[in-house]
Amino acid sequence: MNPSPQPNDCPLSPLIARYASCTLEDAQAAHLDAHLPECNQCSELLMQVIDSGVVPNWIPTVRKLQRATTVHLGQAAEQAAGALTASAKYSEITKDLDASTRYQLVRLHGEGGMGQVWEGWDTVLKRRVALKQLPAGQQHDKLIHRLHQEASSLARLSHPHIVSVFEIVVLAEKRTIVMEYIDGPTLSRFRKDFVMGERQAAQILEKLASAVSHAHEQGVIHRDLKPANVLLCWKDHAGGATQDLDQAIPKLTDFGLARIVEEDYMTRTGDILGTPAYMAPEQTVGQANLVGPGADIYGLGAILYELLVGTPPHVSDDPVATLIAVREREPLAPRAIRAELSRDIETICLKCLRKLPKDRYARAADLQSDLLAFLDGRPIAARPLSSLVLAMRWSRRHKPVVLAAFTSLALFLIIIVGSLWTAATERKLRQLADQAKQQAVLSEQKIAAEADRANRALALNQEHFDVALYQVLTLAQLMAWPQFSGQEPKQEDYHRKIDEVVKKICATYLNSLPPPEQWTLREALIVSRYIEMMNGLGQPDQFVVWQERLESIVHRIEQESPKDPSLYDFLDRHNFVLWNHKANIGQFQLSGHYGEKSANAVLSRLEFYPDDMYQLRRCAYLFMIAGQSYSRAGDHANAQRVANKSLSVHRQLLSKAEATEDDKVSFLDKLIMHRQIFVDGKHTEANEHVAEFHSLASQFEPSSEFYGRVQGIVQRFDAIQGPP
Amino acid sequence: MSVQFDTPLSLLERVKDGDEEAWKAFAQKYTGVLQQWCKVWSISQVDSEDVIQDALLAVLIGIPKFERQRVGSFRRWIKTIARNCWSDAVSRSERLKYLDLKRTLQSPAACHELEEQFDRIAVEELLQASLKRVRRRVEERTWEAFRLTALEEQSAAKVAELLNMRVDAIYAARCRVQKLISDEFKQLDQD
Repeated sequence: MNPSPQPNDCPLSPLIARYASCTLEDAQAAHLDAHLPECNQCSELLMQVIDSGVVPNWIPTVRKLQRATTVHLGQAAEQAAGALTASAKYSEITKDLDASTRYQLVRLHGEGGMGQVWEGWDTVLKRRVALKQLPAGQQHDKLIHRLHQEASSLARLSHPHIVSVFEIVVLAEKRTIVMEYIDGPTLSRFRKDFVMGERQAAQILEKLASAVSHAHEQGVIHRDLKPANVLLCWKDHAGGATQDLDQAIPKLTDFGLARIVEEDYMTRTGDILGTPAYMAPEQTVGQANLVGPGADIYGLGAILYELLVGTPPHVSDDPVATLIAVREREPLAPRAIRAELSRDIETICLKCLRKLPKDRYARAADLQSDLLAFLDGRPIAARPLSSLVLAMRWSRRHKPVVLAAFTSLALFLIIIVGSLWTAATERKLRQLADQAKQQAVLSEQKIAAEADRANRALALNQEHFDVALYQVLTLAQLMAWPQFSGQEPKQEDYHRKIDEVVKKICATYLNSLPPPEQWTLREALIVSRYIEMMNGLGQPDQFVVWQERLESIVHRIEQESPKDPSLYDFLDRHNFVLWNHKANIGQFQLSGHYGEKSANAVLSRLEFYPDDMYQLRRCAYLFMIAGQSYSRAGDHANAQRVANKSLSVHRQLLSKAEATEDDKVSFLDKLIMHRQIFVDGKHTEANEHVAEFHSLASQFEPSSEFYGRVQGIVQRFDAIQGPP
Repeated sequence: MSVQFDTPLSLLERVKDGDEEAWKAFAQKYTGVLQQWCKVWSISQVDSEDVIQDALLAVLIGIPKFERQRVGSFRRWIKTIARNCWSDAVSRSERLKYLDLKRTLQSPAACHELEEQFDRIAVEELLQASLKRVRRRVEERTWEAFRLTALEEQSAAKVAELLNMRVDAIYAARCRVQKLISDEFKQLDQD
């Protein structure tokens, strides 16, 4: 098999390897061309070299391109096809096509965008078949070759809920798909006569999802899922009278056809072909290469939607309007139309219908398992959209506005909105929407539309409060942005508008609160944020009123609430505000007390997330400022105690891998404050850290970016008159 | 929907002449590359749509300018276009102003990667055109000998039987076609 290499004494033999890889100079190559037929030694060597895998460097690229043409129906198959298709196999294909006289057209069943559907007879196998004749298009070699390829991948699909494709032939000069014959109605026709329960809808969808999942595994994307492409059949009835939906076997048809027809059609007209009401948003832009499995997930969602509520998610007489709606508008929630539907089935349905493919179920199998979970009464994996997600969605559409104007204040609003929704009443909500409408003088049309959406959302039910309130907040932003006059908004205008709306919303919210005795952590958190804001805005009267109410219940909240991070967040913010407030009014002892409580809350929070660098920094900082307050109150014992705590937390911080140079510098800062506190208390420990300070400070070389800052700190440190 | 062009240059020629179909084919091809590239550089889906649109526009504007300057290799030329149009697009883009991406997009590593991507496509296109041209010039059996052994990696003995040729003739045919394609490739690149 592998004889030991013959001694090759031909002078041209060293050129063979380069000959095989096409790297020889032209003249030499021509020489070898002439030489090879005459020299057995060199011919032998050439074969060995080629068999050992020596090829021109471009061969792997061509192999890859060629494979790409045969792998997926849905992927850019034609990229390399042109050069590589027509081949010896071509004659076999045409031979097959001639044999297609075996099929007889019996009866026309229907006609649609995808061509005519016939009942047919297979004279060879003596059975009924369905014949789908595609519209006559360009019948050139390349297309026929591709059809042949596609037929082979369609024929690979074998699934109880997919109509089998046998082959593609040319019949009466039209490309014709020969398929399994199903005797039963389409789902779209059937649905018109029956009211479907959510369980029945889920059962059918689960089967369709499993079919789609199978196809996707085989690399086939349907691209035109809709009720008209689902056939129903029954095991023992040939479409008989007792069509019990629970026994129905749904079968998906027309897999991959959309692609064949669409490409041919688009080549000729440049138009998009399909059924707008069921198209995924990414299909509406006419970029075939962007359409992936996600489009089928959307299609399944659209079918489910129609089974649940009776219409597709977006529907309009005008196909262009439908396309725009598909691309830009959120579908009305199914439960807004049929209130008796369960929340889970609605969530599943809406998850399929998200605008971005990545937000939908990643795989048809995931949809299937959620449907099974729903049918079994287990929890589903999909979650309803939160108001934060809605906010992000909005901001994606209005990027410039948001980027220019999304202030921390607006974020604060979103936080409130996110946490509010269970607490509000519908009446108040309506007021809000009305107020917003009255203010909408700037760009009435657009804003009126937003307000209208708010109104509609709140009409659905109280659960949609967040959505409605969210819409109201967008009004504030739109009002501050006179985009219709083409002017840039002034920063002040923007802040003023936001400020107005914040105050209104807060007022509405606070007025709707029950007496403090009934507050839970949720209310306490929002009130504490509000207080902090009022403090920042310099509104002492509001501050004091709400602070007192909050103060009256802090102890109870602390006792009642589960000991989790959100409780400690609350205690941190609450006590921190009080530290600030008491220091401002000269009550330093109390200020120190609250500062220490705030620090302790952060310390408790750190037990949950020990590596939270931000909280570690905050904790060290809070202990030190509490120490400064105690110190000013003359309570030196407490001041020294918490100052030591601050240092120890900060040392912990420095021991972390994520600690930065900045953390070191701020440790030097803390050492100054610490020394001052101990010097004020006339305590000898004040000198204990002097050596450490200088050794740490000397680590900063003049080349360091912190050098200047550290020098300043050293000067301040040295200026403190220490005890002898 | 794709339209086959005989050479990549003729595609660009037609883009330059404002042929809409050529432009579509061009945009479709390069959108894929740019998407891949954006993914590598962690640009979000939404941003990358903007980026790609700007880059393609820059190419459209830039092509006539560069056509006049082209000397020699098509591959080198398309890389130059990629680099220059790209930095043009990035510096002019209004949208990119809002995104903190400029530095990433203009970093040498990113530009190099982009050039490589464009080169990869240029190579693929030149190869396809070369294959197509050679295919037209050689005899059916010669072509099949090459295709089945070199591309489908079937054994020479089996192919010899299928095509009713001698084994050594199969090797010779394969080598001849390879050589023709290599030459055609060089020729097209230099044209």
